[in-house]
Amino acid sequence: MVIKLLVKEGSENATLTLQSSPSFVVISGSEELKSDIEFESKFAYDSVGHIMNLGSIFAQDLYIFMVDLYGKENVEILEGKEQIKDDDKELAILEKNGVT
Amino acid sequence: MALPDAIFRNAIDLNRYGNKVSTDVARRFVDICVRSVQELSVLDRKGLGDSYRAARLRSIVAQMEKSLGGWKKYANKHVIKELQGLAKVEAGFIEDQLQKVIPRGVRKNIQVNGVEISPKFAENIVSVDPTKIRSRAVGRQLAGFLGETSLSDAIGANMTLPNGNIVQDAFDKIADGSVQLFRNTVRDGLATGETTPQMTRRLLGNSKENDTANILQMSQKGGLLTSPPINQVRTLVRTSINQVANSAALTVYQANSDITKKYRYTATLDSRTTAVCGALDGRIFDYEKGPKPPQHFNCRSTVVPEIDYENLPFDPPPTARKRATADGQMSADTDYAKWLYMQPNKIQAQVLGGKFNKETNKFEGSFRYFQRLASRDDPRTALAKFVRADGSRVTLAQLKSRYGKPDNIPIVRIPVAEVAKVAPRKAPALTYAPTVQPKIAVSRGKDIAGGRLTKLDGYRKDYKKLLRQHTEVREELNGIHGKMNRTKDMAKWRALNETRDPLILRKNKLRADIDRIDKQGFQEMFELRKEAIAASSITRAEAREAIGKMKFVGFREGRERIREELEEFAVMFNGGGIVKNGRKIKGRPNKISTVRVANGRAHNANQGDGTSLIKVPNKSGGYFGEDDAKATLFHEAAHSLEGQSEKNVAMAVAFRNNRAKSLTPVSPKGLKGTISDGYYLREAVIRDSFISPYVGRPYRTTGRDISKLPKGVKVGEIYDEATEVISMGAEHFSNPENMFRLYQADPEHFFMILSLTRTTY
Repeated sequence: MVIKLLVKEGSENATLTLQSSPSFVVISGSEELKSDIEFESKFAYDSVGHIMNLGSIFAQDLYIFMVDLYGKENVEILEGKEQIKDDDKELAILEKNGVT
Repeated sequence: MALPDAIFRNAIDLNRYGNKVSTDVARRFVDICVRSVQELSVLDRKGLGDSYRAARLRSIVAQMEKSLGGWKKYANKHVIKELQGLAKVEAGFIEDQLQKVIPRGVRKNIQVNGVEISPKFAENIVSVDPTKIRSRAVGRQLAGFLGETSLSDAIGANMTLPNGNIVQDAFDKIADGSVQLFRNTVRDGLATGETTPQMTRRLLGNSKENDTANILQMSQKGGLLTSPPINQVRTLVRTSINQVANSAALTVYQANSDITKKYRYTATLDSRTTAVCGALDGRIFDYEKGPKPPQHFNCRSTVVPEIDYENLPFDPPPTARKRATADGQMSADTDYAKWLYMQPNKIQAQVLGGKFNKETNKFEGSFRYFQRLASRDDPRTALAKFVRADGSRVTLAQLKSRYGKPDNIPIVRIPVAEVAKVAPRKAPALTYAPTVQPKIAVSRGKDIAGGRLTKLDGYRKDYKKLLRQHTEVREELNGIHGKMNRTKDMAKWRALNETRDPLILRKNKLRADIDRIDKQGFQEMFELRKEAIAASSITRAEAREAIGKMKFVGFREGRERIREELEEFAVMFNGGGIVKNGRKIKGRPNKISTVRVANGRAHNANQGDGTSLIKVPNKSGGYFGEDDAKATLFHEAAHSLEGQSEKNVAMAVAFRNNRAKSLTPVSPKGLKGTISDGYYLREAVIRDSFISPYVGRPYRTTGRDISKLPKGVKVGEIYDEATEVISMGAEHFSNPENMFRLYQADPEHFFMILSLTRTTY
């Protein structure tokens, strides 16, 4: 399932696309936002403490990452709401049965 | 003696040798002058007519002229003969030094090439037309050497080296000038009624025939006729010796291009060094492409070869390199600019221009510009701005016209590490047994680092501050963007848009500063990683064998990369979790037996048989190269590293618990980590300022089902199956950049993980 997020930053917009969850992020749109996301990912971790990897990221992690960076009101889920919820469910199960 | 030391020692010997040669030349000159002046006594005889006295004086002057003509020939021949001998000795000396660089074991394979010193070597060097040789750097060429786009006042390009023509010309001029001075002084003296003893005193001072004094003493004794020529002779001889010695050395270095491909220009670190030599000091050049000493008369600079260790089959000697300065020995990487920057105002004023102002009670002058420029840029760049195109020093007036007052030069603070004083560390042991005490582990880590990271400590405050400021700017921008998204008023939208530009500039500047600090730590961390791998208690073959026995399931793509990265992890952490088996404990990760390459959350799960399964992604390529998934793999493997030794788990739990004020887990959402906040987490964590709040995540079993609890743990008792302390720490050891980030954010955590690279099982 394709996941698409829209980030709106004043005059700058960017669309982030994942072909599935997890997969690599394709960022189109503002170069400014793209450089923001790349820089910030060096200092970010995913939901289970792994250093953020834009080459293989879960929809849920990407959404949370974007919300933290730009605020909930500036991030819109264009496609893949269900997938983000599914990721959360998978994580809940895993956290009860394994060491992440 | 190390190569640079031997060359510096040789330079001192050359100075002494120069004094000896110049003493020989000067002594003959003084003897002629003394004999000529003594002849004046005949003019004092009574009853001599003026015409006879005049004729007698002409005869004395003619005799002196003839004697000095002989002296000129002697001086020229003697100096060239000495220089020719010197060239041979120097070439032999440099060959010996290069030979010593090569360890005995490989001397058969690498031979030092000697050079044939032709009979005319010295003469050729000192006799070539000065306009045809340009070893002295001037104009654009000098600007290029100093990394400046231009240098002020491109004059003096015709300044030439003291070569043979000049030496010969100089000896001619000394002789001719002395005859003229002698004639004029005597004629004036006779006209004004001066007595012969008075004239003798004025002309000769205390100089005497067959004097055994050295050149300096002779110069101090001398009068009008002898003192200036003695100093000129000394300068000419010293400079020619420097020129011949450096040319001979460079000839030998170039004949050994497999040993050395570059040379380092090396000046003397004291207050008598010129601006041009000071600015060139420490710079490295290809042979035939850089400036060579002497750059001016009385130049004491020399060249030191840069041994091409990277392409030679042996390592540099382990001894720490030092260099001599006027204040004693200093680190070899101290160049003249850095040395000068460390000097008190008095010395800086002496070198760059300035004097003490009694009214303001402080030193003032050109050197203040150097201090400001060095603060803004760096000492080397600042000193280069003090050199004009002809190699001389920039004047105060020029500095004023260029920069205004010194205080006008803004000091843009760039991160400079403040080196903290640390107690010397003891040498690390080759291996350590696991410990349950984090303090001991941290101490071991510090021993392994051996004080090498101290210089990075100064960045910590700045680093955290920059990250905090970056977050603040980003949040401020988010606020503006939110308003822009909501407004329907175009004018308001435009106004908001304008307010974001300065913030974006500031954000980019902060990022550049953060990147600059990140780069500082890379080299040290790279070395630590390399050492950890080299010092492993297991071999790569053992690691490969253990990994070969693991069961790989899931995607085939990416398996090879995962094997290689697991091997690196195993070697780095002495086989923990990969090669070594730990005690079987329910629920706890242990030696990895299965690797599932699949999408989905990476994790480490105990399989029930005392071994672990790790699930890791197959994709590695992404935005930042090949290491993207490596950190994840290191993270999961580190759970096994922790779990296979009960002491490792106990140490990790103690590390986490000792730092936390409360052991009651709290929601991570609002927690701030040193690098990353807890917004993304869902499980409760034990709160403290770890690199990320996730480090505080507990894995506790308090269940009532006794079958799920390991032996010895009672129902309701808190039992830690695992932690995220070692996994979060070890994932940063997947590459040098992340290691440096952990070191900056949480040095104790870093040192504890570093200690695990020497912990054996």
